[in-house]
Amino acid sequence: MDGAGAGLSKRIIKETQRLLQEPVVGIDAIPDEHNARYFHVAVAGPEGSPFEGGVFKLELFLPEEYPMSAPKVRFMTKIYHPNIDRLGRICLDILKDKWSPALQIRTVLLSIQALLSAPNPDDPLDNQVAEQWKVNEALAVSTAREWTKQYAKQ
Amino acid sequence: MAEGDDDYYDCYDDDADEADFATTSEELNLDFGVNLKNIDADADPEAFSYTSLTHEEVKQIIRTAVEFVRNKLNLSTGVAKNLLIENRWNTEDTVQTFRQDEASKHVPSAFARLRNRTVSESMSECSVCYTTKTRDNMAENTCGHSFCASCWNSYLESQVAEGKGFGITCMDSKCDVNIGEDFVMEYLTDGPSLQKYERNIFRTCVESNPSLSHCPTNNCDNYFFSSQPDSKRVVCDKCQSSFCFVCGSEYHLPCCCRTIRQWWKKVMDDADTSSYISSHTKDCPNCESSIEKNGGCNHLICRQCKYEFCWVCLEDWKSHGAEYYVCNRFNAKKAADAVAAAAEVATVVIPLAVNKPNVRRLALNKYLFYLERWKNHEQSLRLEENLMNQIHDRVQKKVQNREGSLIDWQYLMDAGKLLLKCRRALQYTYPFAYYLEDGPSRMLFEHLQAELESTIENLSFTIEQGDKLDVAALQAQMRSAEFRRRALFRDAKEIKTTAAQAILQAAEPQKTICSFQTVRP
Repeated sequence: MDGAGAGLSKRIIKETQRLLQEPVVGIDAIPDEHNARYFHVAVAGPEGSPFEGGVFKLELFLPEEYPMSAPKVRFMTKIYHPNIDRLGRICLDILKDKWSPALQIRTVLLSIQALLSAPNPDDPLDNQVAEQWKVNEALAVSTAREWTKQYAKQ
Repeated sequence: MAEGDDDYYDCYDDDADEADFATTSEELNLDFGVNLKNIDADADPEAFSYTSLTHEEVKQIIRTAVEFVRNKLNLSTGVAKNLLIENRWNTEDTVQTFRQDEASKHVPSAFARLRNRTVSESMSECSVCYTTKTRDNMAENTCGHSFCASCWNSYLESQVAEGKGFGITCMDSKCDVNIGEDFVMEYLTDGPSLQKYERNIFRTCVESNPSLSHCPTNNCDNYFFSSQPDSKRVVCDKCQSSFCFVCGSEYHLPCCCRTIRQWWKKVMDDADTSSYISSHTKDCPNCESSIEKNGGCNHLICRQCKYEFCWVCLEDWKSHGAEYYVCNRFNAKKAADAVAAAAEVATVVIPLAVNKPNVRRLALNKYLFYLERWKNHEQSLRLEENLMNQIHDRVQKKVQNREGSLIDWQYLMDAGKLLLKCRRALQYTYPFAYYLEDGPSRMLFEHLQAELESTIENLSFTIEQGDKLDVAALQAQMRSAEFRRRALFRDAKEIKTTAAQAILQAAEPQKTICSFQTVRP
């Protein structure tokens, strides 16, 4: 079996190598020294977004069934975002029903970066934040900026 | 019993304890011991014609339809089956839609046509496991996306484990082409997964075909076919369970599937709230504001209008006079007035009350009014099922004591069956009426409902009288009950509840019928 299965698959090894050789701009993903399925991720807040200037820590874990099931990703840094809840869980379709085995760690991280640039209050995970984003976007954006300054320091 | 009466009672089989709710066309002529032919010539509006099928026979129906589409469009069986599921097994629609989609480039022909696998480079890398494989180890779906066979197997296995059958899409992240059954059969190698997949896809085939239905009982592998699918009663000939052909839940005419689902949900959701409000609050008899009692004393003073009244009888407190703290008299007239008032509230006052402050109370009253009657009939139905057993025992005893043969007492059994049938119908008229808009059609429906109700109560009373009953009167009542039941159902067929209108507005319901009626055994 080359795909899923016991041990570390060829896919995970190659994907990790490629990720380290050609990193995504603004994203660091480093495998844990004790567990190659666990990645320490740091995403820089995209320019022009209320998260600009902050660095957000995430954890990414490749489950046993990977790539047949999606990686598990969570924000470790507190963030004010309608699609990310207090526990850091992310509402992103490709992490759930839209996952495809042809997607990769790289594409997941790029999607998360894009989510920071374009919050989507119509598909909320945190209702209160989403409500604020809809009712008074300016206030929501300034709160997000403050949180970025306070919690996502370099 | 006079010999000449025999022709009235000979329509029932002696062992008929199921299936006598006029389920098949043959049974339409059952006339409950009374000759209905001169009552009305129309068929029973509750009658339904269907055939029961085995698993194998259903498979044959599916196969025939798939073969037809496959040959007509030159597709693989898997793609043909997927298209049929999407088009609810209307073969003509399937062919037409596919041709239109193809012409408008909705479906690039490459997606679905039978393709000869092109052998190009000898080695290529699978973009899921990153392993370089020979061409033989790669497999291409109808959409043209190619991955290695072992990745396809793992993928299909994980999808089936999640409960999917129809609707497994290609592994490519941007491709939403459904994978055909033949492809799955070829590349899914795990035996149990394959069986699960077959079960899933078979279930989807049956569920997506409006002319097919399956018995909802666990482990009962029985299927039904009807050329005129409708939400009518089916009685499984294997396990004897009875259910609605369309939705598989308890039989619910005159309510349509959607109406009864809404009602059941409402009854379940509101159980706590409405019983709390109805048992803990009352309206001030003077100003009609809702009042929740917050102490034990029954002497209440309305905060709004300062009116003093008794919580128990809702009379002016002064009227209690000498029996100052006693209120245990049951006043029949007052009770009757209250019932009449409740009926009025439910039927007439609601539309006028939109601007009044206690609209919510009125809506609740309306709901409680219907709920109470629904529950009341439900309870009567249970009691009358017992009655049915008693009648059965009684008849058995009489036959044993040589007081006539089974046939002589058949009219009693028939009366009991008719009573149950009408009682059930009445029970389900309440959710139906609840979702009717005010207006002449509702008034007519409620008139017919009231007529059936009064006939049924008389019939129930007569039957309960046992040996003393008047056979002629009983027969007249049965005749009248049957006539009114039919009138009610015919009327219900013509009008739509608000719930049913909502679907009509949302989307025209697809009344597609399997065009393979000829293959049914």
